[in-house]
Amino acid sequence: MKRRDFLKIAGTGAAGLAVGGLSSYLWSQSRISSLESQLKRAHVPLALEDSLNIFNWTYYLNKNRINKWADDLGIALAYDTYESGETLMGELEAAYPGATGYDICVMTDGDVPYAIEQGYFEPLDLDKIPNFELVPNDFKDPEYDPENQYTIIYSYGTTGIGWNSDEVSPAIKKWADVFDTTPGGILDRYKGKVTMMPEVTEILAAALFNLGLDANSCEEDDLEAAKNALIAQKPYLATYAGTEEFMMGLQTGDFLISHGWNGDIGGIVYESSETDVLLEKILPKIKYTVAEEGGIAWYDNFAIPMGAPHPEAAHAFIDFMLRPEIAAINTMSVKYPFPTGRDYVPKALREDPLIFTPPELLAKLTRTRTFTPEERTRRDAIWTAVQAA
Amino acid sequence: MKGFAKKYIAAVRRSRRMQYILLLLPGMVFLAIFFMVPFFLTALYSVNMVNRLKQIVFTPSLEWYLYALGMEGLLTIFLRSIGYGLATTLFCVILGYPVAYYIAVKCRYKDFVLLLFMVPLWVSFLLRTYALMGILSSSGLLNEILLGLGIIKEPLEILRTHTAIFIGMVYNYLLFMVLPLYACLEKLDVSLLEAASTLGAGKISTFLRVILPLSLPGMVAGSLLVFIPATGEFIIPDLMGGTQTYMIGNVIYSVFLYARNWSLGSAISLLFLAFILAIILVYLKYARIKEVVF
Repeated sequence: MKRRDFLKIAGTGAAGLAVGGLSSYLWSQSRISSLESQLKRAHVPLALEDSLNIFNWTYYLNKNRINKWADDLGIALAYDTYESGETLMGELEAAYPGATGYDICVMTDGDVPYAIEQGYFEPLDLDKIPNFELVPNDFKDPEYDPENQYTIIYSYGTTGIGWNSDEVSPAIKKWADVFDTTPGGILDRYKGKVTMMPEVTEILAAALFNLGLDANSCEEDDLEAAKNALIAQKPYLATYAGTEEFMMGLQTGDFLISHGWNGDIGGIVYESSETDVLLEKILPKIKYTVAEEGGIAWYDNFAIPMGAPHPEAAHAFIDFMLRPEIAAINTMSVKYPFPTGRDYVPKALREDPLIFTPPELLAKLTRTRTFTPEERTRRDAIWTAVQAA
Repeated sequence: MKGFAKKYIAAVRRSRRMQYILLLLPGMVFLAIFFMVPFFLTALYSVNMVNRLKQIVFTPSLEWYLYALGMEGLLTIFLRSIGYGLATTLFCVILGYPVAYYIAVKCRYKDFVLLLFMVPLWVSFLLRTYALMGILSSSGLLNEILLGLGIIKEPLEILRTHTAIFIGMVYNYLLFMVLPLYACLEKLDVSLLEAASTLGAGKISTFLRVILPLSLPGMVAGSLLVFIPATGEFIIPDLMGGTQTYMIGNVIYSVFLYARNWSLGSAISLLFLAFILAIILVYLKYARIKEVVF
C-alpha cells in the first residue's frame, strides 16, 4: 500500500502530470465510461445473498470497481488477501472438512488438481456465469481442470528475471547468467545486488532450468544438482526476496537483478494502482526477461471453496469480473492481464509482452505440475538444506 | 468439644480449598483448551495419529521423527536458532540489568520511566520490525546519520545480516528482561546494603555477593522469557534476515505450508521443544533456583 502510494505520488508529482500523461489518463477515463455504457445488458434479477467473502492475492484487482458493484447490488463485501499460494492452501487444509467462510478464492494452476481431488472446491454452475463464453479458447478447458468444472481463468503470467538496464550489462538473457559464479561473471560483478524468490517451486525450477533439467523434477540426482547450484549461488545473493521486497529493491537500486513474476515487474515499470486506471511508464529502465532455457508459465483461477456460504453471489461475482470492460479496468489498474479484457485495453498495453505474454512464448513455457505430498516434502527438504548451508 | 473443633477447622480448610479451586478454574480451563489440547494434537500429528478428516486414528509411527533426524541442515538450523537465542538473552541481561537496577533503586520517577519502556509495546510488533528495517537499511536513518557525521565513508550493510537479526531481537525482547529484574530488585532491602557496607564490603563485593544473588530469580525468569520466544522467532528472520539467517521457525512454517506435511512439521516442533527443554533444565539446575519470580 505504502509503496504504491509513494509511487503514485512520485509518479504523478515528479512527472508534473506531463501533457502526455494527462492526455492518456483522460483518454483512459473516457474509455472506461464508454466501455461501461456499452454493456447495459439487462440484468436478470437473481436471488443473491447479501454478502460475499473474497480471498485473493494481494494487489490483484481494482478495488473501487468491485466495491461499486457490491454497493449497487446491496452486497456487503469482505475482501481478504494473501501473499503466497501456500497461505490459501493452508487455509483450505485447516478448514477441511468444514468451510473456510470464503466464497471466492484465486488459486494457481499447479495447486488446482490437488485441491479438486481433496474436495476443496464447489463445482461451478456455468449457466450462472454467461460471460464464461467470452473467455478466449486458449484459456478454456485447461489440463488442470478439464471442462472448467471447478475453476475459471483469472489472470496469467510467467516467471523470469527483472533487471536494471542502466546498471547491468550485458543484458540478462538466461538462467545461467544468475548462476554464473566464475570470477568476473554476472554474479561476481553484481554481488550483493541479486535476489532469488523464496518460493520452493520457483527457485528449484530456476535452478533446474539452469542445469537443463525438467523444472518439475523430483528425481534425487536432479534435486541434488539443483541444491548444489543454489548453494554455490548463495554467497552472491543479497537475499531471498519475495514480491514486496524485490519490487522495492529494484526501484531504489538496492537490487539490480531479481528473480520474479512478470506482473510484479510490470508493477514497477508502469505506474499502477488498486483503485485507479493509470497507464504511464515510470521506470522503463527495469527490464523483464523470460530466460532462454525456459520458464514457468502460471495461470490463476477463480474457484468457490467448499461450503461457501454465499454461492449465488460468488457466481455473480465471477461473471462480473469476466465482463470485458471490468477485465480491462483491472488490467489497466494492476497490470496483470485479464484475458476477457484484452481487446479493450489500449494498444500499447495490449502489445506489451511484459503484460500480455505472447501466445507463442506462453506455449513454450512449462507449467508447474502437481506434486504428491511425498514429493513436496522432499523438495522442501532441499530448500532447508540450501538455507542451512 | 475437641472433635468439634477439629471438624470446624477441617470444614474451614475445605471451603478455603474450594475457593482456591474456584479461583484457579477459569485459568486452568483456558490453558487446557488453548494450550494442552493443541499441544497434544501436535503430538498426535507427529506420530501419524490424525487423518485427513482430522479424526484421531490409532496408527502410531515414528517415521517423521526419523525423517527429521536425517534431514540435511536441520541440526545447523537448530544450533543457529539456539545461538541467536543465547546471544539475545546475554545481551538483554547486559543491557537490561543496569536499567532495571537504576529504575528499581535509584530512580525517582519509577512509574514514568517504566511507562516509557512499555509505550513502544503499544505499537504492533510487525510495525516496529518494519520501522527497524527502515532505520537499518543501507540508505536508512542510521547510515544517513553516520555518513553525515563523517564517522563512516561507506554505508554499513546491517540489514539481512546476523547483526540485523540480533538487533531486532534485543530490541523486541529487552523489556521482557527488564520487567522481571525490576520486580526482583525493587524488593531489595536497602538495610542489607547498609549491613554489607558496615561489614566492610566494597561496592563490587556488595554487588557480587549481595545484590546479584538476590536478583538471580528475576534474571532467570527474564532469561526464560527472552530465550524461549527469541529462539522460536519467525517474523524477524523472515523480514530482516538474509541468506544466512533462516531459523527453526522458518523451517516449521515451510514444512507446514509448502510441504503441507503436518506430521513432519509437528515432529520437528517437538524435537526442537525437547532440545530447548533440555537446555532450560540444565540452566535451571545450574542456576539453582527453586522459585522463579515472574
